[in-house]
Amino acid sequence: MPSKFNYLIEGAKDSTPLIIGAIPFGIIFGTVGIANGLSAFGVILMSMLILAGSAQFVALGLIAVGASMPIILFTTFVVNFRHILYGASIAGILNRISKTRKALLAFLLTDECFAVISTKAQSYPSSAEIDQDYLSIYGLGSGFSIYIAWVSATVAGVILGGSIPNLNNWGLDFAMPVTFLGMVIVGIRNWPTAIAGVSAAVASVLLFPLPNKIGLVIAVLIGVAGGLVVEHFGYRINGLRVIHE
Amino acid sequence: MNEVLLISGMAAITFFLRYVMFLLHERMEFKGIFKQALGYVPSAVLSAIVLPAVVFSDGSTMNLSPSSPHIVGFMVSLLVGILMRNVLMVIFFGMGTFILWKNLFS
Repeated sequence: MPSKFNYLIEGAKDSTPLIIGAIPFGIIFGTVGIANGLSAFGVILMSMLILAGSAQFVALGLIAVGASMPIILFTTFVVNFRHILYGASIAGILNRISKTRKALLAFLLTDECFAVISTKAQSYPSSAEIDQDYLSIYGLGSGFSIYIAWVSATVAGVILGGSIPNLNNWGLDFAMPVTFLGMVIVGIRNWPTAIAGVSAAVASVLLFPLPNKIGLVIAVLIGVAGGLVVEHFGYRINGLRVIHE
Repeated sequence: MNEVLLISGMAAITFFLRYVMFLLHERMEFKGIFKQALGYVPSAVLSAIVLPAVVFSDGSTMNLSPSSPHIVGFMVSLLVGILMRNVLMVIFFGMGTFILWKNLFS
């Protein structure tokens, strides 16, 4: 019998490949964190409270070179700015859930969790048909499972230190890209979404040299603009509105 | 520098960025071009994360060589994705190719 607990499990299950990809980074974060002058407590606290891999690594780099607190906080804001888009996207989809659930989802809204929730949302024929109670619990299942894995991996890294050989050579650095790629292809259902994806991808490669993931944010905006332009164009040419969520 | 203070500040900023749009949405409906634009965020974000991770596989230099497991794994994944439209199949064939290539060329 389907119960709410099963929704949690489904979300966790669909996050498995991303969790496998995140674990080595969590372990590396744990080992590097200690090496860069944080206490064991500080390293683990970072993973427990922030839950944002790239921002955590960037902060470690800044701590290591003795950057001041305002600089580190500002950089965190810039590196994590893309999350405002995730929040907007999910808030638009899950607008009828409780405040507590919104806050919990927001806390857990990593790149991976966002990918899992929006892929599930796109599997509905239209946004009006989304079962918000189901999707939000499913999203929490994804978020909690990623959270537990990220924190545990960090703890493992702190304890094991540098004693894990060649973690970079396990080949798990491809797990996240390949999963996201699968999700993005399945999510593409019409020309505007395809153009949004392709233009964002090309732009993010061209803008890759920009620091602190600024290129990523600009690339996403370019992709979104590309999708909107094609949608508008299709509308003008065919007199048919392209259906999307 | 106070470690706990720094981490709390970073956590507050990150949570703010993730939560602020939920708050805003309670006060105003997302509509018009903004709502339309949000529909493209998932494809744009995921694509923008994937391609640099493949092309700059060491994190800094561009490597488009056919001996790069990231490039070949990406090509196979793309093909499998378009043909089968199934995430697990993409992961299976993509990771398989990646591991095979990694062992062949390194």
